[in-house]
Amino acid sequence: MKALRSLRGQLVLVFALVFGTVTLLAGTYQYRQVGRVLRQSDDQRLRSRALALLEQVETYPQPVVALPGHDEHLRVLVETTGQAPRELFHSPGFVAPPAAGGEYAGLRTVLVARSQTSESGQPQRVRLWLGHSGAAVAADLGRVRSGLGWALVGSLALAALLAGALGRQALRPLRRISQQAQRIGAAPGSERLPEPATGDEVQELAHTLNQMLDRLQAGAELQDNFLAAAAHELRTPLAVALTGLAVTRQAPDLPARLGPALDAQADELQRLGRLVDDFLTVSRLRANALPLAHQPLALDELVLSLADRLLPRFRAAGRRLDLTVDEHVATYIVVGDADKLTTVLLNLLENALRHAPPATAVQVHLGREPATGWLYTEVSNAIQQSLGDLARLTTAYYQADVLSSGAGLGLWLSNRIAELHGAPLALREAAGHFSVRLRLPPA
Amino acid sequence: MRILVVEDEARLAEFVREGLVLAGHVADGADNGATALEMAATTPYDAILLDLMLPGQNGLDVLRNLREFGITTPVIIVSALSGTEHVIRGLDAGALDYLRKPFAFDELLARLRTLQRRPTATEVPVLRLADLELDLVHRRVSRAGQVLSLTNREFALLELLLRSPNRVVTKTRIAEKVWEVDFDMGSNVIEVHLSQLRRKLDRAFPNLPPLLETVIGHGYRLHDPAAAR
Repeated sequence: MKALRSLRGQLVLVFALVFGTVTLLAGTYQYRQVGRVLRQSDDQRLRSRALALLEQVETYPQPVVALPGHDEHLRVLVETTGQAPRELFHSPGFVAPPAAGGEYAGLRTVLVARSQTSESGQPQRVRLWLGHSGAAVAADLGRVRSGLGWALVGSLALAALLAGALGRQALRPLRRISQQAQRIGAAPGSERLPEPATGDEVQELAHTLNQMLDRLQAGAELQDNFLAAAAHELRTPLAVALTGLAVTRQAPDLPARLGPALDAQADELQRLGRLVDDFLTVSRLRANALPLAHQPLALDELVLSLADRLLPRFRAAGRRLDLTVDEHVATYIVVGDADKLTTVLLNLLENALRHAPPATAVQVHLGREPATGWLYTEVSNAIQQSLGDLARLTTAYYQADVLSSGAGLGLWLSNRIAELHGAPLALREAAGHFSVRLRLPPA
Repeated sequence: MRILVVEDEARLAEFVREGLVLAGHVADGADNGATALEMAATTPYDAILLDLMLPGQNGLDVLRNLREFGITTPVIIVSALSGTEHVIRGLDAGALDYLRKPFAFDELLARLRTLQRRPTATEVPVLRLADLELDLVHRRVSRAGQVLSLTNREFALLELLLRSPNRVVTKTRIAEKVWEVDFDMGSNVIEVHLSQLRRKLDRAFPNLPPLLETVIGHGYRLHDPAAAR
């Protein structure tokens, strides 16, 4: 059914229907004409044979009748005025053919007659019926019929083939446009559809679609610029507030009891800064317009530098940060986008820092999965109560039930970025510990 | 240090200057590129903090103009533009460092201290031990003629160890000098960084004698195997 719904299928169907109907009508007309001609010539042949046989009929002194041929049926009747008709001969079963000739018991028949005078001088009529089988004519007609049938089938096949070829030729530019269109993502770059120089509707369609892509690209660029501007607008006041807090914190006359409160505010402001980044990344992710700059990078160096960066906050919060690197792995070079992976790792580390109970450690492990050869980093921390359904944690924050706790933006975002790098985050809860593993293919 | 803060956001500039003064530095401010160029040309600053989005000429233009005028004052870019492409463009234009807004003020102070530690003309620019060389000017490390790719942290660690060759450097001293933390780190990052350094320094050269030594219970030591014999 799908094939019939395609343009090419419909073209084939229409061609075949038109060709088929025309061939069928013309064939039927021809078949009838040929049948009439065949029957006429058969009648003529039968009539001349009957006349020849009538010539040979003699009624006096002895009745003489020429015998009919193998396939022929004969009846000869002599009618003399004032006497009962006298039958000279009839073939078996050929008793009463119609008076005017025609079809009789599966035979084609003709009637011929001759007038003469009887030996007694009375007017006399000799009537002769000759019949033969109609099979020869039927066989001829059958051959004509099958010839026309084959012609119909042939013309249908030819029509379908021609329509198919024509369709393929005509639709080729459309197919190319479709293939190219599949390659163009949600945020079109400089890719455009091929415009065939055919001067037809297909060219017009490609041109119109390309104009639409131009507008989409302009829109995407506008969105990018807007996001960059928004980022700038949001980060500047954050920088002002953070720096203001830090400077206030350093003031020599600051009462000591205010220190922890200011630190907590600075911590929250930094988190806000990360959230701004995350929201900007999310808006691009949702539009499927997050470009990934895949480059070889050292996963161990990235993790260590981020651990260094967050270490002051771990210390301030009273959580240890323990790192282990599997030294048997020769290299931790992976292919990925350093900026986006930084977002993932910062999210994982900050989550662990926030949820680890006081005075416990957050573990960061680097290693290689023996089965797949993929490199990974795993962040794990103790938890005070079970997290329940882990799949809920990576549900999009805007899809999750707003009243449920824990389904935040960070893990969802990190999971999407991890998926874009080849594998989703692996979440695990066991023996009072929660761990998240980021897996990356080796370079 | 005498520092020029080029920032058009008045309150941020004020906070930064105030914070720098509290941290013992001298700070001046400029809210546009032209003023910044003029001030940098007339006053010998030790460092310039440069915003990228400025009215008139942008930060990158200011940086290029500085270098064209022969002003080699080290520049740290402080910008809300956080993409890697902006960082690369900034560093390529001649900045020594790039700090993304919003930043932790302590991090800014730490980066200024890193600037301060840069070698002066009177200092020996290359530290050596056996076949190991550390070039402070070009921030290049090589062993047996082969260049090693070190992170900033590894470079700082190696520099510290190379400044006390053949002597044990305690973890406390490493924490103080490299992480600027004066008591318990609350982490094993030092061990892990040193292990990473050992991987690049010694394990990458299985045919050469190892240079980095762990002195259990004390600390770490870089030693020259020839001198030990």
